[in-house]
Amino acid sequence: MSKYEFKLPDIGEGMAEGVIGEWLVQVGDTIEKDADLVQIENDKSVEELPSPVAGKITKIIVPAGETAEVGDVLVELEVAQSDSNVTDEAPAATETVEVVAEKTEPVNKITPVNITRETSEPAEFMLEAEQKLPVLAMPAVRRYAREKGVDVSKVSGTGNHGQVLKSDIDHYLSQGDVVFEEVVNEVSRETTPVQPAATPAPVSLPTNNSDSWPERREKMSAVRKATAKAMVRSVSQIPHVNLFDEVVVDKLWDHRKKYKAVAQAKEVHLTFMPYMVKALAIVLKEFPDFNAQVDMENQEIIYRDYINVGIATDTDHGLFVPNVKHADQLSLFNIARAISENTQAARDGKLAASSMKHTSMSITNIGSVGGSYFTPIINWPEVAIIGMGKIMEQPVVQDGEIISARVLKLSLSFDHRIIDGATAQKAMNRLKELISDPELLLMEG
Amino acid sequence: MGKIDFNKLNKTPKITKVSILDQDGKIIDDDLMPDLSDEELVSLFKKMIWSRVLNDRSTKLNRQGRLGFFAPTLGQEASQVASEFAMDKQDFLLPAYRDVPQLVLHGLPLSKAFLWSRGHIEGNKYAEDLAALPPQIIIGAQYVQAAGVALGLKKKGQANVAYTYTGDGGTSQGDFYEGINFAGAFKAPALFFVQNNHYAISVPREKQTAAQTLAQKAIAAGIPGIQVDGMDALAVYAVTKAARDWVVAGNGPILIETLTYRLGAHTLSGDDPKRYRSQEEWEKWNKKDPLNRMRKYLEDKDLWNEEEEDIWVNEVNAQIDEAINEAEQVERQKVSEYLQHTYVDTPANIQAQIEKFQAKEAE
Repeated sequence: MSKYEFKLPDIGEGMAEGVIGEWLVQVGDTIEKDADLVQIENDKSVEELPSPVAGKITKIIVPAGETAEVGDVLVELEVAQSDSNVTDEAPAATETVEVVAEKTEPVNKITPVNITRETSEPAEFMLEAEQKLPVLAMPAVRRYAREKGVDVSKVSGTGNHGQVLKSDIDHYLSQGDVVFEEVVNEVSRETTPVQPAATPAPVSLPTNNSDSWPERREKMSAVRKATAKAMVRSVSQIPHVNLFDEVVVDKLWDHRKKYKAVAQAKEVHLTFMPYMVKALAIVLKEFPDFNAQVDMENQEIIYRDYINVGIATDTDHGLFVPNVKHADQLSLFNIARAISENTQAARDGKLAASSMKHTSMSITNIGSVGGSYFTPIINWPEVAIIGMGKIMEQPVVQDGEIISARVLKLSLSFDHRIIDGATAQKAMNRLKELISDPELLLMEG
Repeated sequence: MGKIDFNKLNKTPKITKVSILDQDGKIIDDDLMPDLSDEELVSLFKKMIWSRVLNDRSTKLNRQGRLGFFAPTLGQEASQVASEFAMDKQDFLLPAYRDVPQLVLHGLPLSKAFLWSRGHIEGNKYAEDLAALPPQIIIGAQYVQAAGVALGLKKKGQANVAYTYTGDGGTSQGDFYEGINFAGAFKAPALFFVQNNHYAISVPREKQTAAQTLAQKAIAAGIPGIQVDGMDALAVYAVTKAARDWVVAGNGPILIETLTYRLGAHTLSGDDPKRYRSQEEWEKWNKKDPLNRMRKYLEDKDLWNEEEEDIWVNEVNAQIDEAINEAEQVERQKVSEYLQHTYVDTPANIQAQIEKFQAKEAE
């Protein structure tokens, strides 16, 4: 048996890259000629690609959710000798793909990344011309923007080459939630606001690859690009203030231990997170400034009359912030169920855009992997975020005596444009009160 | 002064469509039934199946990166294959990009059609005795050329027609009017087909023109226009055959509008029809599938069965395998060669590109 490499063909005119939607086969499967292998998503449509040969899947190279460029090998198959394309003499089929890849190469490179080339080359003129295009957007998207009264040039595109997509318009309109990641920023621990910097222009770095200091370059994934953009925007727009505090959570610990089995019987996975969501929902009700957005252009504050608590969710393909809708109206078990559903959807890459919209405020938990205090970045345009560390047993002074207690460390980042230090500390105190005594959640929630 | 009734004017002329075979494969107009032998009926149907298999395989080959451009023909088999079936080999075909089936049935080797799809110059090199031009990509431009070719045939005194195809969208082009007008003025032997598949990419026929039918556009040019059920192979054949006879007899050109439907996408280059047409509409047209009614008709006459169809489909698939393998044997065309084919006297900026690509290709 020999090897066959299936490369991503150009399935649209001048398609440069495609996102792997779903693999329709697994390693070890045998596949007939012309049977569907994989689903590819590009700017315009979703297409199923059939296998040109019969064989057995030996290796899936580009996993679902990732972007592949035309010509990239997506999957390897074990095939009959006569069908192999991985020999010195590659058959015409693969070569065709290469022609296409070559042809589309200049298009490929039209990204904010600086390209170093000899300026005398004709291709360079085309690149410059392309880069000067004011906005890239399909006619349908432009019409949609017009209907919604949105100036397309004001919207930052997340499509290929910065193309503005319909979802970007929606995002712009809702000033909705962005993909979020905890990044320890340069903000000091003092409660002084940081001056918002203007959004810096993307900086390119030279490649200094050498034998002694080998380096390599990889393309950012779509999620990584979106995350990076969102973080820069948040830090440049919001004067972050960080507030740290700790709370003894022995009662919480016991409560969760006591009801974990009950929850399990109902197929509910009870962690500390539902308690935190419930407590935060109460705080948000009592401190509406935390459930708000700041519209600087119109000098207005938007208050939300609903409470949706976001939870930063770590997955193999990046961080997402789905939210628990109407968390103030849900039981602890139902919150736990909602969290499990969101987490699963995020891991499967099936999170609907709606599940990340209309977030009141977010929780980020590094405690599941350790850690104590950190300075989370606010999930713009929200105005605050609360970070949870690991619950640790440590000495605590109580009534003049040193005792051992379970302590949760909390890191609150808030937007000083709308929330002042004293308000923040009061909210923090209330949160501590609620989290330290879960029975209060029953009384208040 | 009397009253002029513009409403009435707007409703004339009335054009009715010709139908022979209904959706259930029953003959509804015996009078127009074409004079085809049992063998010819089977042969026509086999060509329609061939076209459908070619459509399915071309789609897969495209998705595997083995074919380039492809415009699906699913649903248009009666319109395309039955019209071609009425033609003489010496009749001159000027196809559009969706008319690859007619082109191959007219004599172009399938491997050449595949090379054309792959953008290879070999796909455009035709044998001397093949009376056809490569598919036209510019919408409607083939109508002007067809008028010219038809005039040439007339001048040569050849008893043949030039025939060409465009879509419903093509009838809004200036070339469309110029072509039918010129051919009409010179009584040139041209047969103009409008395959009204109801969409110009995403623009529905209703939004294309205020005209009630596309066939009536012939009236302005002073030539006959006729509408035919484009999902009915027998009707398409009967109308085409009669029209060809009339044209060859020196009466001038005819415009034929075939009412058909593109069941697939506009092309495989990123068109998603779900964005512009409803599932209900698609289902309504799918029920009119030209293959189904022809199959029922032939099965009722005991001329065709499932077993024969399976054997034929396998045979067609083998032909397609052979053709694509043949196309893949041809050395791929280099980017530098595309550039070299553009100008007779290559300008300096193109020359610079040629050299750049040649250097790359030598690596």
